[in-house]
Amino acid sequence: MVKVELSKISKAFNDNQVLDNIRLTIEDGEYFCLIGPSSAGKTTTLKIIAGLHVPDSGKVLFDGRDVTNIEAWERGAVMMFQNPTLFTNMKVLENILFPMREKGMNYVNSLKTAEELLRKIHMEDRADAFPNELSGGMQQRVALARAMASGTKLLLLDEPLGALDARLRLELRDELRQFAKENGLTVIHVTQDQDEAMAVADRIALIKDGKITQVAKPSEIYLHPSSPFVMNFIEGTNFLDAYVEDKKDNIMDLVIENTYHRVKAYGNFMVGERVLVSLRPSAIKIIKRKGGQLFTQVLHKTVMGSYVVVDTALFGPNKPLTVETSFKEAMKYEENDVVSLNIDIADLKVFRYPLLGFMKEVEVSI
Amino acid sequence: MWKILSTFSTILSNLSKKKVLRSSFGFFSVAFFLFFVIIPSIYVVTYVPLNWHAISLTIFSNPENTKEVIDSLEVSIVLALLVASIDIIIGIPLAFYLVRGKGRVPQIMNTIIEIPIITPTSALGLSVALFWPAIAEGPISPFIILMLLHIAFTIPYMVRSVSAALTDFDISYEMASKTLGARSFTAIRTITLPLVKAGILTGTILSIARSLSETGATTIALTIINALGKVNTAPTLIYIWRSLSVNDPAYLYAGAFVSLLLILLSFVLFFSVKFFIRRFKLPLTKVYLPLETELSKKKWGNSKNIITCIFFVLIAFIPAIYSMFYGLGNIGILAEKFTLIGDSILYSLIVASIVTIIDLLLSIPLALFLARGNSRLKNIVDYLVEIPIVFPTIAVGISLNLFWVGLVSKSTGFNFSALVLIIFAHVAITFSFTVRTVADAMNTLDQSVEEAAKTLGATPFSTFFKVVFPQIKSSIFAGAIFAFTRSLDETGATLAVAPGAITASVLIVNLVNQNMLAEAGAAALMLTTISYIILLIIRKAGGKHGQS
Repeated sequence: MVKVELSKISKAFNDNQVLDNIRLTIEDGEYFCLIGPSSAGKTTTLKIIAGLHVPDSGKVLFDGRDVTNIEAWERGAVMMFQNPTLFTNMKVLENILFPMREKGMNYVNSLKTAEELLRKIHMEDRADAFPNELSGGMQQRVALARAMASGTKLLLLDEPLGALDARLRLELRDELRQFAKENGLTVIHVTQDQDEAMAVADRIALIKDGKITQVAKPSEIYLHPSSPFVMNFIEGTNFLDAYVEDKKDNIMDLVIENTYHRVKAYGNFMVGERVLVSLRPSAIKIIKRKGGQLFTQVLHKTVMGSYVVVDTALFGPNKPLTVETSFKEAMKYEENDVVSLNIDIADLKVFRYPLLGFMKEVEVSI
Repeated sequence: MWKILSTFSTILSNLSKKKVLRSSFGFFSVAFFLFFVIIPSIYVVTYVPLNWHAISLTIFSNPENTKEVIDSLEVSIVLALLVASIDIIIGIPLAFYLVRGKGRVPQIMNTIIEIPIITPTSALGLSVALFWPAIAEGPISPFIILMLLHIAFTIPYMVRSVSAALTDFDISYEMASKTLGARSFTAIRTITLPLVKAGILTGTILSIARSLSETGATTIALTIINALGKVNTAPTLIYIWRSLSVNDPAYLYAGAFVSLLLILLSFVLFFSVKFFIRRFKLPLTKVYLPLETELSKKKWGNSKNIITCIFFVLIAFIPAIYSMFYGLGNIGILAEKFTLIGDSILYSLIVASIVTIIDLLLSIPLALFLARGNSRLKNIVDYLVEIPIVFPTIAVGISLNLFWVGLVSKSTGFNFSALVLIIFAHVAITFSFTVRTVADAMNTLDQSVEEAAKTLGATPFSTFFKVVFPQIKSSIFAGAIFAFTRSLDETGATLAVAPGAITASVLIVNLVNQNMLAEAGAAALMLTTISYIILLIIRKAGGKHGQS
């Protein structure tokens, strides 16, 4: 039963401002994901919650109680890392017993708890193995059991699946969520993988340059991203530079710059204002026959499996517009064929043109 | 007993929760390091200018003494540079063979490579000075003897440093360059060597530092071939003047002056070698195709391996163990002088044990302070730790004597016994090495493991003992072995700080001085045997722990 609040947290390392006035509330029992590009401040936030870093200013509250100055070993928020961090000198069982020994718990009860946890992670037959005899996925499971053995209700995950192969990652991420929900845990999960976050989170916070840019449910963050950056980070998209030519009520006529194409979109920008338009590849319909809104030529097809990425020449061959379509549909035309594109007015998302320029806004690495 | 231990550890565990106590623990180890290692070791730097008048009277008013100072420094410089160059030429190919070679021979070489280091230097000096004239059936020039001696105890450092770097080196770089068409000789020259440069640098610095600082073996070798006083290295000159100072205090000033020069010389050589090796680039771009294709052939590789192995066995290994045979030839004398020799060895063992315990107890907190602390003091201490590694030991001995006896005793009236002074000196010499070894091991650990332990509820004390300690145990053992052997072995600093004390190494020097070679051989045999046995025991203990 832990509700975590971060109030105006700032932290700098050697004049490098890593976190800037972070405010967050994570509800009791919530599975919360913290995503963002590398060195955005995700891990630092997590370590401040764990008590491994002390913030320069601001407070950390657990259930309304100020824990900012309580040391990590007394705070009871358990952290898991990309490296399973099992103690290599101890066997699996000893690893799981470790937190209970540190808390001075009765040995017989501890052993019972540990055996139960081993059963839960389906590793009761590996109790006597040393960590280096286990696969990466097994090690991470043991790390989870060890975390649970401490009796914590707050689990902090720092890219725990980052080092595993793709298939195992999918399997374990669902296991993690299920485990958390069954045991009533509050989980704060840091990841760079937006798909992972979308799949498991109750809510997602996106962090960039030490600031929170948006906190929302996965569907909400997908439908209403607060900025071009969020939009692009959650799912790669086509960005079009445009200006508002005309406007009636909240329907605008946009002219895509450097072309003669005009499109309609919802929004409340002023006539003549420069805007950034996002059009998701999956939102565009591509049709073989003529008769749609917009004609263009197929530049290139990339088969990804169940879906196909099609680059089209709507804005010229140097600025391909990317479309995602089903495998079956994509087989109906070849490269260089003329096709027409259907765009729904509701799928155009219009943003104010970024002050610092487009590249600065959407860049992911520093 | 177990109950007491566990109560004790609970108390420490609870104490470690207090931040004030944790930081004061770190500061205590820093304070110890400053007041017992750094300040006494560099005291001679302030002593010399303060007593300049007396020094110039002894040295500059006496042309004979001036000449001796200059000559000895010259011998020391030439010797150190020459020895380091030979170590590089032979040591690098040998290190390659040890790491990359296949079969029995590299394994055997790997086990014997450290024999010359773990053989006490006094025994080594005896060995080399007796072995080579016996082989040559006639006198050999003192300089050649010194060169052979210094190569013997420095080359293992070069081989070990380079092979350590080579083991860490990712061989796929070299393989990639071979698939791109580089001949194997060219691949090693242009890809591997530049990337293991750090190891070569460490090896070179250790070789130079050891050569410049060695006193005991050099004195013994020169005495045996009757050249002491005729040819001197800077340390042997300090040793002679230190012996004379017992009767004529003027020589104390002279000794202090040469010590200061030797310290400065070490620093100059140390930094110029560092600079030179950093700047030095092999002609990387040019490839001498016909020559390198020829050199890459198997026969050249094999002959290189054979030559370097023979060189090592002949120059370092056989001389190192020769004194054992010499001692065995005079085994009767051992029984005769057993109490004399046994007492001195017991004395040495007591000193070495106390030094090792002090080193371990205080180097671990200092290493923790350096590897995990975030105090501003950290960077300064990090530099200071390097200093004693370059300090010639006899100069440390002189400086410590001036500090503890000349300054502290005189101003407080408290007299330190010879045992205490020797322990101070040996700690000052070995402490930095132990700290470095342990701190380096801590730096390579993945800190997230410790962080995980803390969030699981482990206090700093249990995090250290249950999580960190098991991972760095082998490095701590290495530090302990180093401290113990260096203390057992140390002659120069012991002679300088407390001339009257009879440690085993000093006893061998004294016996050689009195021309009692057979007795010296017997003492060397016993000292060497005991060092080997103790090392074997420590290694076994370390190995056993490492497996569980």
